Amino acid sequence: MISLLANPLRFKKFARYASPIFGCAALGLIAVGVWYALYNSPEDKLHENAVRILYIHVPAALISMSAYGAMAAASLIAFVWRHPLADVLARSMALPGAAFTVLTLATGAIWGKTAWGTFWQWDGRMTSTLILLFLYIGYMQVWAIIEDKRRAARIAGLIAMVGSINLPVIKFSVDWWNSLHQGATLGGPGFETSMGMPLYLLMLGYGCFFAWLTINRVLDSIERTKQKRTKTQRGASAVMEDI
Amino acid sequence: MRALSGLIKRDLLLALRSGGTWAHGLVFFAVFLALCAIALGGETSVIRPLAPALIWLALVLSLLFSFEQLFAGDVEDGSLEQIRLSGLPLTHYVSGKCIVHWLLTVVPLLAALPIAGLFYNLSMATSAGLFFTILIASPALIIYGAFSGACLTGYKGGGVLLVLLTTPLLIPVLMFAIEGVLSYEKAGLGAMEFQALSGLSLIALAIGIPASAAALGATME
Repeated sequence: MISLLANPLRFKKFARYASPIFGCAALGLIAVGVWYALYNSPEDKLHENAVRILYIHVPAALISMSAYGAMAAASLIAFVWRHPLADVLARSMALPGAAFTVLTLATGAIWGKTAWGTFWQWDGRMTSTLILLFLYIGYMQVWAIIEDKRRAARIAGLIAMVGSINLPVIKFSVDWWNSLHQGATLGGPGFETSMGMPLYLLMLGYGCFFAWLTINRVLDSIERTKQKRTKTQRGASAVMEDI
Repeated sequence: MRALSGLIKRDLLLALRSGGTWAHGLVFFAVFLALCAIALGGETSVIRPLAPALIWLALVLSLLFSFEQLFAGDVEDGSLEQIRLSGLPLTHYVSGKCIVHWLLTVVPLLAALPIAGLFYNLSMATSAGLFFTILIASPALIIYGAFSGACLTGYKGGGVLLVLLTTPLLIPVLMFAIEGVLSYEKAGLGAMEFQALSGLSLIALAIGIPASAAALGATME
């Protein structure tokens, strides 16, 4: 599977089917999920309607973390096997991942205001999400400042891998340092299936949306390198004719 | 081993003849602590509970600014290329660089710690706690800084980005270190924080040095 998609042309063929499938699935799942989350699910006993923002918040948090893991995995594949598309894939996942992290932080802050009466607390999970955002920004900046893209790929890959090894360490130490955040409630007592259903739908929907975004960003990136290549070739031939 | 000691000797000699640039971190450390004391109003009762955090911040910041130049000289004048051609593994080279950097930045700061303690009117136990947390955590600080430095050597605008890349890796160190200073008074070196700090330093050693070597290799490709 991995080496099968290494070829950009083959990836394009794969994307021709995968992109609409993921796109439609994301649209459908998110639409149904949002309908369940906002209209057709019970209010929370404690927080009433405010609990509905968690349907947006929890899936975003899930995607923001797993996107970094996927980015690191793609970087590892690129680093070990010099897989040409894995670099592009890792790079394409960074910006959507960072966007989901921002969404997590923003919805988390709004939820915090209603539930705990404050937008920001230096508690374990919030702090580690903020650090995750720093990791994403650093990764994207490395791509931005190193001009030679092959070199940038190797160095950004190293940074993603070192970051992903450190992410559990950071998470553990931040949790140990200060933890107010409620533990995971999925499946715990007081958690109704009518609340779980929209949550799972939205998690899947967000996942499909993320996959759709990534595939299209990879396609865009392939297209751009192709354009750049033809442009430089044309430039060279013009110079030859002038001589 | 001989190559490594030769490398260390060369770098120490270079630092000795650089006109004292290695002491810049020390100056930053002093200026930062003075500024903090002034900003906080100079009241000992206010400063004292904050002192471990301030001294640790001064240490981390003074170190963060020193990594940009760590490999830059060797990459620019081609000595790194020569070292690689000589067959010395890059991991040895990075280790040598880290040892020299530790000797030139952390050791002077450790030596200056009693004076900082005097300024901030710290108790013996707090000063000793600071000394041991810095000693145990410094490998992690140096190695992660060296990793970011190796990644960004030779690119414009690397300075701020270096801080951004290194900070997330140093956050666990900072958390455990400051708690460690406080628990040193009660539990001594057996405190859980010191075990955690040693663990962090060992992780840094295991990951950071090969990763720095790989980054330098990628830069020279």
